[in-house]
Amino acid sequence: MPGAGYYIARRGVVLLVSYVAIIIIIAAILELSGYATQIYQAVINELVRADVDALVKARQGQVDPAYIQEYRQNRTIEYMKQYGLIDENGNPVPSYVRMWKLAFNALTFNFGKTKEDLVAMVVPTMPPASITYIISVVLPRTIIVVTVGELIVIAIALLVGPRIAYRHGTFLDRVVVAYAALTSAIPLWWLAMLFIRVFGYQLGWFPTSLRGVTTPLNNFWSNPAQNFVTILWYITPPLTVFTVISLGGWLYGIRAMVLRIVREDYVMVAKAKGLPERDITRKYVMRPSLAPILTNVILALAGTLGGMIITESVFDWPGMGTLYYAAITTGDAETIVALFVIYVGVYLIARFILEILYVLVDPRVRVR
Amino acid sequence: MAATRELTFKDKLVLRVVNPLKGVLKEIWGMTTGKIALLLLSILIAVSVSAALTMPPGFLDSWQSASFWEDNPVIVPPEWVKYFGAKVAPSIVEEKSKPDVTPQWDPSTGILTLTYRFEYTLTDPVFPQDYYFAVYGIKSYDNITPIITISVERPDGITSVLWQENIFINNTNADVTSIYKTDPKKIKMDDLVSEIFVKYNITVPPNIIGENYMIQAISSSLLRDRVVSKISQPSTALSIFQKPVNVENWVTVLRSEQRPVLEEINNLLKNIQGSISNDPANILPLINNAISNVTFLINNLDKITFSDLYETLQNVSTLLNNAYKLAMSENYPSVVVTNINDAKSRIDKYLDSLKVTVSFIGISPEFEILTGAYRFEVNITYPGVRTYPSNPQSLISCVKFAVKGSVKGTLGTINNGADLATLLYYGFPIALLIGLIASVSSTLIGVIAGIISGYYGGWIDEVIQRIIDILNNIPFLPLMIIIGTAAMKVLPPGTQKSFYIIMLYVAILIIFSWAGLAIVVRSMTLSIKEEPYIEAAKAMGASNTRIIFYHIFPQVMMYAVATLVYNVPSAILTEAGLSVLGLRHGWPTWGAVLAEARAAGPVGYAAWWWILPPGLLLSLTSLTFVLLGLAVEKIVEPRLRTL
Repeated sequence: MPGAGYYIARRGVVLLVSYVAIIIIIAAILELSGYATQIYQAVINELVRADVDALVKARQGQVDPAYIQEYRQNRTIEYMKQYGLIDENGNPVPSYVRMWKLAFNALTFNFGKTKEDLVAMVVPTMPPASITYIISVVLPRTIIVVTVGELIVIAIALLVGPRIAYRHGTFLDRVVVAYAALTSAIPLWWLAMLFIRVFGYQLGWFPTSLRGVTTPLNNFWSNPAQNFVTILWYITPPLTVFTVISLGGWLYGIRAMVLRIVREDYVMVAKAKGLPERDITRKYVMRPSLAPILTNVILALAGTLGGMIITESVFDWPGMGTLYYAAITTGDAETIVALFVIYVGVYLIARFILEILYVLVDPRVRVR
Repeated sequence: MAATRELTFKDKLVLRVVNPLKGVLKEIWGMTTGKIALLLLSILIAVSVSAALTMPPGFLDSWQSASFWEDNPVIVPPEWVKYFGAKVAPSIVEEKSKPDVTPQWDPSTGILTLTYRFEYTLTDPVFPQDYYFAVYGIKSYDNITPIITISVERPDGITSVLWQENIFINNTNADVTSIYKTDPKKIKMDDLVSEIFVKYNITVPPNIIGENYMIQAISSSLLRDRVVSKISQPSTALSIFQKPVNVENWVTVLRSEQRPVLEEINNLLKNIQGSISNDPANILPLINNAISNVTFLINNLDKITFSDLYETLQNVSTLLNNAYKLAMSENYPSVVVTNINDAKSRIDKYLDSLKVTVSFIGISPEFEILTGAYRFEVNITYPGVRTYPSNPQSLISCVKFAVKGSVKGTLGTINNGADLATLLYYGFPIALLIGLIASVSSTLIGVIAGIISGYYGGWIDEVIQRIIDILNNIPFLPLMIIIGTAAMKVLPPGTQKSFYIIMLYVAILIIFSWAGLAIVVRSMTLSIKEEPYIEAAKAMGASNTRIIFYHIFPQVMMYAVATLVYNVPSAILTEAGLSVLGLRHGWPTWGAVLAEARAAGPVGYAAWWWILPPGLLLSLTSLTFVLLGLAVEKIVEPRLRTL
């Protein structure tokens, strides 16, 4: 019987293979559809134009048009070689060859530089800026708001959820079910839009764009107390909206989980024996529900990274979501690819942590 | 014998599909949530079907073009806000293909006139956004092109010509038609202002101005300029909806402001008086005369008219001019000459300033919105028509009058003038189609993959499970974003592009949502496979297909239905979310409408009617399926628990 280490290693390999496979598939989609070629072509045109401008400027306009033509052609060929569109002999490189280079660059986090002002402004920095750097600044900001939000929701749900399960069928229970149904139907980002409209534009209590949070975040240690309050002010809108929406689902989920266990025979027996309610809760109900709850927590933490993209961009919280929005609206393909690669990476790491915890918490998994 | 009768297809259908379905529906109807869900669902389906059937051709592609909505005001609230006390200017669009008066022809002058009349009533003092007239299909007659004259009769009785233009028709061939559209910015402001001056008796008061013809002319042209610039606020087009108020207070006299200047001049003159000790040429009487003139002005500053002030100062200027000439010819001391010159140039400067800026009178016109019925008349005249045409009505195909008010439609309009109610109405079938296609397909795939995986086992099971592993490890929203962006860029523009992008989204949704169901179905299949009746069926020689379809599938079906129902809203909401994230496919989905609002920034957020209804529809549609899912789940649960 192989041990836990073997199991974890096996899952790790599966996740790693998935990661590589996903990146290769994306590279294939981008190259074979001709999308990447279009992007490279645009970049090369821009570079060549800049070079020609520089040449004309350096010679103060005294250049032979024929020479400019030749220079332009040479620069184009050079850049095309550099970007791998043609090989050393000038023959075009087919897209099914180029996709491997793209995949390799993505896997080695060699994302290149962004030239879009809007994208660089999320950090904020000046283009051209290294995409790896931008993401390294922006990712923690996303984690701050998402992780904090998720932890708040989980804490409330764990406190309230089991109590509701005991009061199954009461008015309070029905209210919670209705609340869960309602919040699962309301899009998070729409509530965010309403929040901005009411509390931002109409009442003026909160900023309509949370971009300003970068200042207190970057200079946090210059005045920690005041900056903490400022950050709290900025973080309240996304946290409120996030809590309101995702609490419903969590309450419902934990209620259902506990309810299933409460109905088990051994709990019935414990009740029949006349054990105090507190003991039943602690020993017979909470312990078996620990594993599924922990699974859900980790999975949710991993999942929210993907789920908050839209809400974050609506609030203009300067994290991954806003970066996505900036990249999509400016058509910055390199940043989009980089964001995708990082997202998949973070998600898979979360999955891996989950696998480890799974093994630690639930020994049955090991023998699967 | 009835028992041996072969079951027809219809019987089988009733037995296997219709009856169970009826049972399930009955059961759902028995629950409160189920009842609400079924009612909402039937409304959703009814609206979707009617929208899909009545959608005008090309709507999906042209909803974003400004010309499609040219008659609508932009970003205005719905009409019913007036019931909540809001003051509104209504929007109207009226088209007339027949003249309101029988075409008039005067044989002596040969003028043929077609007259169309429109009325617009303003009950609240609110400006409409804009208005215009359009004449479609104008034909020339006898090589004569018409003159279009548009005039208005206002509620206060003023009648004024707003536009008059001679239509240019390229080829004066009877078959060639032309379109004429007014530009409200080119309104004939002078005519209107003249009418208003006459009607409201607006003049520069003679007791202030006096009788100097030049001063009168300057003052009235100034008054006119001020009125024109005031009435053009907020726009030329809206000037016809204004009436002057407090006319008597418009002109104020700035008499006290003249005193310091006059006293300064007086001091200068007195200086001259003092500097003359020897007066061979008799300049002193001239100076004294000038001083007495200025003193008169200072003493009578409360009574004098503008003309008097001006003429007296001109007189003083002439006196000083004469004194200067005399002083020069008689070699007066240079200090006297300089003083005279200084005083004269000071007075001339003052005169100039009075003439140019009219610093003696201040003019501040006031206007108010004029409520009541406005009667517009469009006259199309053909001059010099020798013979009366047999059918004069056919010279013009139709005349349109559109007022873009301050409210429009059931749900208001957005930034391109698109009627929100129309957009959202046609969004129903799209939303439902996206949700249902994605959900039904993924459920089917999930059930089939799950059953196959569980039933056959072995390498088939292994392959399917590994595929599920990989799918579960991809966060699908980023994937959708990357593929959506690529599709937006790579797909050639055309009417089909939006459809392809949406179908691509649906395809990704399908690919990513079958895995979860497949895992559950597989585990269900594994346990059903072990049941004795399956063994029995196998022993009796039943084929695998038969066992799957007759024994496994029915048991898995209800759970699949619950999943299907739950998957519908997630597909709809995902599409909406992607739109809001900036991935535009081009169809008027509810998400696309919200995305436009977001992109419009503060203007979009200020328009509650732009943000609230689309989101409510999204939420309500999702809620319908969530409630339905809850109801179905309650039916499914007992069976799930037997596992």
